[in-house]
Parts: sequence; C-alpha cells; structure tokens
Amino acid sequence: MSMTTSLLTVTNVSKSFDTPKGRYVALADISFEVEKGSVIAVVGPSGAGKTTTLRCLTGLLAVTSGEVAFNGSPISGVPDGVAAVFQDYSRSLYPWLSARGNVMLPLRARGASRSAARASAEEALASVGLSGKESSYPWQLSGGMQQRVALARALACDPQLLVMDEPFASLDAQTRMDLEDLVLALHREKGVTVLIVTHDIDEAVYLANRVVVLSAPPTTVAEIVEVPLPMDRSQLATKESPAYIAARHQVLSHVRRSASPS
Amino acid sequence: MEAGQLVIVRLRRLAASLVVPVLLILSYQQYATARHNLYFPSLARIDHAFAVTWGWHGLVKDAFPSLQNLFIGYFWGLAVALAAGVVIAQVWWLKTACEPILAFFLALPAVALLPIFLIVFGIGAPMHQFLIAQAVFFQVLVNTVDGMASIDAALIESADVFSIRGWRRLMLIRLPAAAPQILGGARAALSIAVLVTIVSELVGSVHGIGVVVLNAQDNFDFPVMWAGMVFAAIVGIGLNFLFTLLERPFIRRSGLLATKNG
Repeated sequence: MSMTTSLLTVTNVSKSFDTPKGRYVALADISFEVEKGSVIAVVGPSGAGKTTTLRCLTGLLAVTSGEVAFNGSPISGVPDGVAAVFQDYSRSLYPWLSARGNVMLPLRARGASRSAARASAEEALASVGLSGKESSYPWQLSGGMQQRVALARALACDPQLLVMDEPFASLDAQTRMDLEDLVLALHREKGVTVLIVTHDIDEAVYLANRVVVLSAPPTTVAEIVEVPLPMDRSQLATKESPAYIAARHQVLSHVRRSASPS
Repeated sequence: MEAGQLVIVRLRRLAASLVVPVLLILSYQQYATARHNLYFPSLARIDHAFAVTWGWHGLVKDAFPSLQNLFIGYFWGLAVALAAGVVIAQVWWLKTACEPILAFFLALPAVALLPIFLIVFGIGAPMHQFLIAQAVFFQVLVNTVDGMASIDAALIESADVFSIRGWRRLMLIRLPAAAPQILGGARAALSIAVLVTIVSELVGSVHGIGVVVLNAQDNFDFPVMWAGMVFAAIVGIGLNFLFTLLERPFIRRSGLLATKNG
C-alpha cells in the first residue's frame, strides 16, 4: 500500500514561454506519478526540456496549465519536504560558507536552533562520507566532494522528495559511480523518494525503479519504462544482468525514436 | 633550494618595480640641482620642508582636520549608500526609476558641486564632509545596486529551493554574493574621497592639507608646496593600503582569493 501511494502527481502539465518570435511551447503535456519510496529517473533526447520539467515539478517555475500535486495538494512554490541537488555544485553552494555552514543554513532558515542545526549538519555530512571536512570551504574540496556537500545539504532537511538535476554530469566517471551508489545507499537507509533528471541512460536505468522518457519539444511523455530489478544494485552485477540490459535497450530505443533529427 | 630561489625571485621583482620610481627621482634631482629653478626645488629642500611642515604641530593643525573630514564623509557616504543600495536593488521599479539619476551623478565630477555645497553649508567642516559623503555615496550606491542585481541566478535558485528568506537571504546570500563588486566600489570611492578632501580645501578653508599646498604656492614657498603634495600622496597610498588590509577577510570569505590562487 505504501509503495503505491503517490507522493508527487503530475497531471497534464504544460509550459509555454512568450518570446519575440511568438509563443514557444516547451512542455506540451506531461503526466506521471512518483510513488513514495521509489526512485524515478527522467531522461530524454538533448533539448527535451528536462530541466524545465524539473523546475515546474518543484514549483520553481509556474506551470502554464495542468497541475502538480505534492502529497495530494497542488503546489505553488517549492513545497516543504522537497530538497534539491543541482548540476552545477560550484554555483549552488555558497563559497563564503564552510561545508557545515552550507548544510546548516537551510536548517536555520527552518527555525532549528544553532546547536540542533549543527548536529544535523554534521550527521548529514558524515552520512555522505565527509566527516572531518566540516570546516572546509567548497573551493577547498574536489568536485565530487562538493556534490556530496550539496547532497548532505538536501538530506539534512529530511526531505520526503529528493530532486536531482543532472547531479553527476560534471564529474568524472569513477566519482560518478561512487555517488550513484551513495544515492542508492541513502535511498535504502532513509527511505527518501528520489526524482533524478539525467541525460545518461545507464545512470537512469541503474538508479531507478521507473524511467520516464520525454520526447523532443513540444515535450510529452514518450514512454514509461519499468526497471524490474531489486534496489540492492551493484555497478558490476546489475549492469551485466539481462533485466538491466533489456530495460536499457528499451529506454535507449525510445529516446532515439523521440529525438528530433539533429 | 626552493626557499632560496623564491627569495631571489622576490628580490628581482622588487628591484624591477623600483627601477622607474628611482630613475624618475634621480632625474628630477639632477634637473633641480642643475637649474636652480625656483619652482622645482631640490629633494633636500623638499625633504627639509616636509620635516618642518609635517611635524607633530603640522599634523594636528592641518592633517587631522583633513583626515577627520575624510573619514566622517567616507563613513557616512558608504553607510547610507549600502543601505539605500540594498533597498533600491530589492524593488525593481525603484531601481528603474533611479537609474538615470544615478548615471547622471556618477558621471558628474563631485567637485563640480562644490559651489552649491558652499552656498548650502557655508565654509566649514560640514561642507567638506557632505561633499565627500556625496561623492562616495554615488560611487558605492551604483556598485551596490549593480552587484546585487547581477548575482548568479544559481545562488538565488538554491535559496528559493531551501526557503532561505528575510535577513538570512540578504545577509548570508545576497550581500556576500555582491561583496566583490561593492568592495570595488568602496575602493574607488576612497580614492575619490581623498581627491575631494584636498580639492574642496582649496576654497575658503583655514586648515587642511589642501590649504597648506595652496598657501605655500601663494607665498612662493615651493618646497612646502611640494612637501604638501608628497604628504597628500602618502595619505592616499596609506589609505589604500589600509583598505586592502581591511578588505582581505571579506575577499577570502567570498572564496575569490582562493580560487585565484588555484
């Protein structure tokens, strides 16, 4: 029952922008659900409006029509219970705050006392493997570590939904695998629901229970592919399993079919 | 080996930076002693005049009033500009409405307003202080408004997602993000303040660094005139150095110094 309760419900969402050349329809019609406790990946061909979709779903951008409901109630603005990790960690972390300071700030803004925020921040930093780096500033940390700080900042808020926008796109392959496994481990331990937007099909299939494939703009949902794998995954065994290969094949063929010719 | 080499590199750089000043001073001295020109006294005579003019008595009588006006005017100009800049940057229509007048006053040399300030405030310290404050105000205001308007959208987006609002958003995100540009404005304003301090003293004042220079010129006491100009230069350089020391912690905290150094 709990697995089938919808945390985020997206119903016929569209988004248009008025440009000097006329009306540009970025999102035509997007509908899908994010069940509590699941990991959902959103993929699509280049320019499919993945980031616009994400911004609409988190309330950072108002939708033109349709509805986004979080826990059953329509959202206006970013709901409590949603935390985000962005692609560009070097611009989303505050360089004048230490790792601890960056993680504490949202907690303090939510009214936590200094000591409580400090304790939660240090716990969150420990959970992403950054014990001992609490006092470092972002520019003293590697890209992977900076993204771990961003992950800790999101997790410290104890979100129901963790939204990630191409979180590992600017990291090297090895660091990316480590962080993918970290996300899966945190998902297992904390039961947090994850919505991840990525252009990387391997990453999408490896992380998700279900992959939402978007079409080229005006964007619609081209296909929703189930990934019939247990959540206990490993970079070697999972990626060699027939179920993984079949799901990957299915997602990739939908992405390629829905891409506009380039 | 490395420490020794570093010292040699530093010494060489110091020597290179001294070449032009030393050459200029030597050629001046050569010219002055050869020509016995009344207007261009030798270094020894300037040095003697400096010691006589800028002893303790001279400092108290002429330098302290100038520096007092400078500091009071600079402080108030800076403080009011920061407060006004923060307000103007928050309100888009206020910003749009103020832009033309800001551009006008920024382009207008501050000393061009001297006659008006003389009429309004009469001769005395308030006239100097208001004129300096006015010049500092526009320089810092324009930089504050610009700096706050051009904050990286990614930083603001993080603040939106994590619901960081009110004074935290202002003091912990927007102001630190705009700090490099505000500090740049404050530094430029300091040079302008020194200029306005001295130039405004050329009209109707009794004491001050500018008064010493002007009176010496009127009395054909050219060594004292030169000594006054040297003193004014020392004040300018000294204040700039002081500014660099005070700004360092801010720059370091905003992560700029560190990123520059790698």
